[in-house]
Amino acid sequence: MADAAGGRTDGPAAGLPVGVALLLLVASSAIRLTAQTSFHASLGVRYTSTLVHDSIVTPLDVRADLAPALTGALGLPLKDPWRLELLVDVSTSPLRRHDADGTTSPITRLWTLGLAVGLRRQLERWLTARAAIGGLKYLPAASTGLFNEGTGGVIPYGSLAVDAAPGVLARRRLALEAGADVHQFLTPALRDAGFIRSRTVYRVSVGVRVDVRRERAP
Amino acid sequence: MTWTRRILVGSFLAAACTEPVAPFRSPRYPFTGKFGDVFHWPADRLPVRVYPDARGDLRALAANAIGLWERQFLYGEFRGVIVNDSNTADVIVRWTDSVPPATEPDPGPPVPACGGVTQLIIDSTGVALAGPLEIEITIFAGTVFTDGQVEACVRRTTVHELGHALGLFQHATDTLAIMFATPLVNEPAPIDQRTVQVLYHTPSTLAPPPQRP
Repeated sequence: MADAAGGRTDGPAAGLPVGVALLLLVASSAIRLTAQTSFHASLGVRYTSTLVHDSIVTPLDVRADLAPALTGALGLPLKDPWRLELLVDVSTSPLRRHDADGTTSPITRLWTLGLAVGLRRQLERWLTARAAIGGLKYLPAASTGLFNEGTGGVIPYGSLAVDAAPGVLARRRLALEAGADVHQFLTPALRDAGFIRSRTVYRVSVGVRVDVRRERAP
Repeated sequence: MTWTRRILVGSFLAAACTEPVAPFRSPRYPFTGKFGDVFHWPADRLPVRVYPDARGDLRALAANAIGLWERQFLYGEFRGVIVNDSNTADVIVRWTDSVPPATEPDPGPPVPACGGVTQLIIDSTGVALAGPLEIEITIFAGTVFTDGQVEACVRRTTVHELGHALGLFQHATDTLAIMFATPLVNEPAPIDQRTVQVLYHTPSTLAPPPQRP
């Protein structure tokens, strides 16, 4: 067994929420300073790739079910065509073990909270793209199984998204959004069980974005 | 090669290089019964319902044992819960006769102040358990040990016997395992963890006792 003395340790990104919180504070003061701030919210569905692949007698995978994903984005003006965005992202779904014989067993309900900062660029009149980096926190409903020694702290992640707002949707302040992000996953309990490397996890989401508050021309 | 293809190939190689390898779960000790039987609680019988004798602190000891065993699993293979009615229990834990006073366990070296036994009955078909598993914890008569030493003994013995009720039918030869015949440690060791994890992914040859209301 590797690193039996593991225990609860936060990852190197443990200070990330503080940094993102400071950015949000700066953003909130900016709201008062400019009318060019915007706020978008999007609701969609998210697929998450396998979190753990193990083999105990037979192979098994641990995956989260398809999850509703809610994202809030505060947009701040930069030099055109760029905008700075501060993002909050929440999703939740049951986490299940998928055995080789096709059976599944629930482990716990899993929530994820992501805070990120990104840049959005207008590509076409109806199309924008965004790249962001931030910290992702796994929040299991119970400290059980692979989370019984903690979640491993805040995990850095990177994301890409595109929003398309054809005329009919744009008039209703709506847009279609597709996004993907990637991070590395490993918990202290998995490390204690002998996993020595984290696993690359992809998340893909599609949804609808609504412009809650549009930027106004200066 | 176009940039798009380069990016796709690069992404694939990056993913392949970070694919972690499943850990080996050895060494471990045998867990089969006398006749090669394999038993573990199936997913549709979780949480396993444990009824502890209301006397003394057996309820706390049983809860401690359930928690320790639950933590040996990564993927929700076992869960247990304390119940107040022995008629609904899958596992019954009792004092054989005398009940020791509840006190803080002595942190010193382990002493043989107590013992335990787990009884299971196989039904007439030979492929299923007949009724609830029964665990008895015994304080050895005429013991000269302190209350704290007795408490420490019953604590680790309860964990050991619950290990049998989970399906670990054999004793470990490793003295640091909780399933060593006379347990010397307070909680499952890595070898117990590896063994019980493998047990819960090995097909059972014995069905659990009938579900009770």
